[in-house]
Amino acid sequence: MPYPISKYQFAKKELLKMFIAIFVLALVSVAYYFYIRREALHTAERRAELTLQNTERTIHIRMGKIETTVNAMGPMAEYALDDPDAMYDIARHTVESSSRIMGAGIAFIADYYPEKGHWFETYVGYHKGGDTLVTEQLGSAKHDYLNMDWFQKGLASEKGSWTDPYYDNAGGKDYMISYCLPIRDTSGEAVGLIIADITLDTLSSIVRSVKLYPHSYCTLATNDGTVLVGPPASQKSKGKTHAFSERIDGKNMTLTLVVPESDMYRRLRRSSLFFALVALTGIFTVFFISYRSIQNLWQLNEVRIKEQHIEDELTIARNIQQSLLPSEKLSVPSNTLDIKGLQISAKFVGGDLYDYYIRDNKLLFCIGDVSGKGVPAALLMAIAHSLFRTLSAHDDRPESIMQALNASISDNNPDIMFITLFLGVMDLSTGIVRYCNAGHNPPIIIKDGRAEYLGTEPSLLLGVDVEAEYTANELALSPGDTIFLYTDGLTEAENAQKELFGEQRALETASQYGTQTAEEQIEQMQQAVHVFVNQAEQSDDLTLLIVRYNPVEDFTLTLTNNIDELSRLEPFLEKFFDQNSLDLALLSSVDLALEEALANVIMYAYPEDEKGEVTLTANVADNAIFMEIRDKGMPFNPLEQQEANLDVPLKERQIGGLGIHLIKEIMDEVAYTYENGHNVLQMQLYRKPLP
Amino acid sequence: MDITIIEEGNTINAVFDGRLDTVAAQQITETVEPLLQNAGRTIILDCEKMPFISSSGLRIFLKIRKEVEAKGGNMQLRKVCPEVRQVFKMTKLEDVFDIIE
Repeated sequence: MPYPISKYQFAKKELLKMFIAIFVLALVSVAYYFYIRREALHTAERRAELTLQNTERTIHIRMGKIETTVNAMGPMAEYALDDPDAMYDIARHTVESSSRIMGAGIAFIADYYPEKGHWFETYVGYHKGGDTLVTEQLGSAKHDYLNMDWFQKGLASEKGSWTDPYYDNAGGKDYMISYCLPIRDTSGEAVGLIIADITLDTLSSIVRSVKLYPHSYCTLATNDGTVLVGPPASQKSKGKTHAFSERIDGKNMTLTLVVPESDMYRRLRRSSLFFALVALTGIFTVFFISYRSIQNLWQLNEVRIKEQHIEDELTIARNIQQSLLPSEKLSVPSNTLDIKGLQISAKFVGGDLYDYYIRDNKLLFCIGDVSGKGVPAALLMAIAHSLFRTLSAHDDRPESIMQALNASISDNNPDIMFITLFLGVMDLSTGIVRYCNAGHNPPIIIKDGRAEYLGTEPSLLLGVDVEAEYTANELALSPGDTIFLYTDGLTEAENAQKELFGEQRALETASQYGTQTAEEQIEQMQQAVHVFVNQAEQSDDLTLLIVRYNPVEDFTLTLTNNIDELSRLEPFLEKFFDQNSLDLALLSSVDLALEEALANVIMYAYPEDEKGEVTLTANVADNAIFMEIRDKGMPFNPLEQQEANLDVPLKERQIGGLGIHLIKEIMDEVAYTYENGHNVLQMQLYRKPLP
Repeated sequence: MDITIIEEGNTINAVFDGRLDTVAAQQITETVEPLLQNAGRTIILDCEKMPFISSSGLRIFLKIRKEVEAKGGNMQLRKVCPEVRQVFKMTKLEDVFDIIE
């Protein structure tokens, strides 16, 4: 059920939903961003590791080739140990066997060749910038290799080993790294070293060629921190970087790969930019769509509120229309009539009407159908109903009521709406119905268990011709006869196969009416329609009205003004109670009250010696027993008689007046009238036992 | 309506049998005469077999009651059926009569 809320509140509610959606989206995006970032870091780590391993291997292989070359020279030098000059050839040979080797030397321990002096180190190599080999003896007091670290370490080493990088001031004039292989004499004593120099450039070209990311670079440094290959000059250190390191196996060097974060996350940045763009577009779209939906929803909400208003009003209209229907209980002074109506509207309000009431011992009733459905039909129905009540208030001739009704409705009928109406007036004492039919479905008359349609041709319907004249017909009902009136909602009730209930089915159902009450007959007809229609929706208003003429024989007892006649009262009442199945607990009280009333008349109404009569009539309605005592005696109102004063002591009491007191005490209603030369005493007792 | 009157010492027992309606009340005017005459003694009205009483019947009872009061006697109603008791109630005579079981 929509509630009337302000547009602001409404928008707030909808916007809140939208913001929550966007917030969740943003949260997911941020989480996703960090996840991708971590993945990128892992990828970079893995790639760096692989690259460093590859580089290390390349360096290793390159240096390994040098080692192999030099290792091959070792035995040659050992073989030629006797000939110091051969060492020049071996050194030359070493240099020539690899383009990488910038220079090679063979240095001997002090005084190994006495003829060569204290120092002896043959050297063959390229001087910086030159392309011809120069052969030299380097050992001298100035170049005292004997005390140099590399010589002592190399000599002490079991196998060949690499020196730390150094600046070669003597031969190469460049940053060098050298491989030293000990030469042993026949006794296995290390007597010298073969040294092969390579420039650091040999390695740095490998290091520099490592390009993992556009701005990443690789450095090479000794393990104790001397930088051999530094960052390239073009590399300006800006922003955060990540460094990954790898030691070069057995070479006292470490490779370091430096990757700027900006490179590492370059892809991520690009894709997150794209993602942000998509998200922004999405949010804008959501905003736009939400704005439109809020507008639409608001409009819808307003429509729903309006619909609710209309529905409320229609419910009120329906209640008003229902209130126009005659009340369930009809105050009929006997069982003369059994009458029951039913109205079911297809929509909230309908265009069918029925009404009945009793006036001057006559039943005035009508049933009608306004053309169309819904509110317009309901309004005209209300007008017709009110006209019926007004016009029939002082007129009991159906033809003149109908004529006046037609004139009123036709006179101002801009929308040309019609009413079919059947209007009848039944004399309750004779059962004669005078009726007028303005284009309405003919009612079914059920006489002696035989049902047939009323044969009279209908007259013109109401609302067409302001001057139309109507004539009445007469129908005599016997006790037990029934008039069954209905609207076309009955005969045109449709089932799922689009078949109509039809007049024949209505007639057949009515034929089965036995002695059921009007209420049971209505239920039977409704049930028949229900079974026929099955699941189909009720498409038209359905109205049924059943009038059963059922006069009950009045119980009448006429007594002469002889007190002995009173003995006839008790048997009469016993029979009356028995035939009407009345509560016997009431019998004694009724007997007493009536005896008192009748005795009063017999003893006082007529002058002595004058013969007179008194008549008791009794009958029963749903809720009460009616009793009436009539006589033609002197006008005398027993109710005005002095009542016994019961509240004074016995001595002061007058004997008398007890009878009328008992009547008033026992009966619920007592009324006296004098009409047409008759004393009429009416009494009524509700059908509940006395306390 | 039959009334049987039995004298037992100082007590007069009157058994009412049948409806004490208007007709019966007229019929028994003479029958109850001995009761009025002996109003100085104890009079017991046996109502066991009297299912109905009208205002005329009540008047007879009241007449006896007044007489008894005047002559200093005693009067009792015995075994009054509910219907009749109801009439006494409606006419507020329930306490006027000495009703015993």
